[in-house]
Amino acid sequence: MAEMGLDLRRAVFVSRPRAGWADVAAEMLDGMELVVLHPPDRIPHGAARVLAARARERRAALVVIVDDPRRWPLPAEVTLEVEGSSWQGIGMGDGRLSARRCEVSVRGRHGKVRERIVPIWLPSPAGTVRVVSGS
Amino acid sequence: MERLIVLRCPSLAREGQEGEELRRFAEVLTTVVRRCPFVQPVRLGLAVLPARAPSRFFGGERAVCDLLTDDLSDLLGDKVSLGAADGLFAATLAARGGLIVPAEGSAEFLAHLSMATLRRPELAATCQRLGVSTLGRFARLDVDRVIERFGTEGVHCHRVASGLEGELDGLRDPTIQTRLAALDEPPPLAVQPTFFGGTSLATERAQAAAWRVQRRFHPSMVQVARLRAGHDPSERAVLVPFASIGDLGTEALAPWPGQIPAPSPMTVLSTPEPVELVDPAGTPVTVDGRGLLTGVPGQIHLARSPRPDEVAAWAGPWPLTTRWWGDRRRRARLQVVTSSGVALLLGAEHGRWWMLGRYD
Repeated sequence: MAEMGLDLRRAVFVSRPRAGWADVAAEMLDGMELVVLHPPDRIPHGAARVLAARARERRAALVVIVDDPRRWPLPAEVTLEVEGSSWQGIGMGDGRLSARRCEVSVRGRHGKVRERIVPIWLPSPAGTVRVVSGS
Repeated sequence: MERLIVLRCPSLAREGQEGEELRRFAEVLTTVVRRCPFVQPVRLGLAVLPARAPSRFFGGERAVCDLLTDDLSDLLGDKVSLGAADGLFAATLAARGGLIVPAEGSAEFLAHLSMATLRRPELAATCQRLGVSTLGRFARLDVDRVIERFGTEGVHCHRVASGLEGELDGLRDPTIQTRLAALDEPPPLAVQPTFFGGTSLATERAQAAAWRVQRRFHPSMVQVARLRAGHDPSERAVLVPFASIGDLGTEALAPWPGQIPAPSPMTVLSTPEPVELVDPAGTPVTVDGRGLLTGVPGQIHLARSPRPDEVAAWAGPWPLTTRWWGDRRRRARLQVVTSSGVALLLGAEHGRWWMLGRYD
């Protein structure tokens, strides 16, 4: 992540908080501008509601990473889903992994955001994350 | 490298049964905080403060040291010593002798000191046998030879001894801040970690949140990432508890021989998993003595997957040879993309393949 531009001095990591994950996330939303959450398999509806409300109240962004968007029990403001990806720079025994082009679908809650598919470099050949230009 | 003043209280360096030393050390910090708000504990009996601002304010580093010695005389008598140098390692050693090492003079100062100051008894013993007894002579060893003989850890010590890196791993006690915080009295403000790089309101709020989680749940639960030099992704990123941080992620990363260029795998396995790699006919593919593949990879079978996957693309192998006392450890790295689009980093060692990471 640091290679793609994350300033490690401005990020903290909480590994496997287990039972307390929702409390930890709520505490973090109190202070952080952005919280990325990888929740366990079962997400109680109440916990999701508390976190969404806390994020709104604190004007923080909550990004939830799940393998299926339906696992988060509330409608999200925006849902991003990687529909497909391909690695570039690597061949049959030559080159190396250098860039990945992902097709990302963007959907908004109640159709607020026009649904579309955006190609994104994750990362680009220069190591950054950006929309594939010319699209 | 940052100019630092280190304060040593040898009488408080070892913890007694009553925990009296910890309490007294907290008092020392509280006293110092009044003059220099940015003081941080390093370990019991040892604290560090950035030298620049206070020395400008009080008229030089020597003046700061004298002033603090004076302040602490009621508490500790003459059992305190202060010193200044570039980087925490040199400053700690300067404090032993009450020395002010001139700016940029750390390497020269360190050159005369014994290898024992690195607190790596095995390294010191081996070097002693090689006739290398001072940091200066160790620093003059060729870095490639140091890698061969002593690995990553040795290179770190080598960089510290050469004055290229300011902080020796293991110098800080990661528990000291939380232990101080756990004392009945509220800790002096500066004992709380001060980073996130700034002092804005948002920064303060972020710090407070991390601090609260740590208090409420577990002291080592909140972590920060630190990058360092190394061959493999697993060597290059480490998580350390939030409270124990010095200069975070700011270590300049030197180019490292044998390092695969970015991007790095997003998921790095702490324990590599065995992997079967075979050619289209089903014959195992390995790396031969010249560092080449013995066949064309056709299928890959991961430990956790029920069936093998087709190999869609691959790159490498990149050889990686490290020596430990002449015992050659021959390793190689291979990047593989499966037909389902998953990219993996594999390692070969002793004729077997291991999955080291996934490019998620």
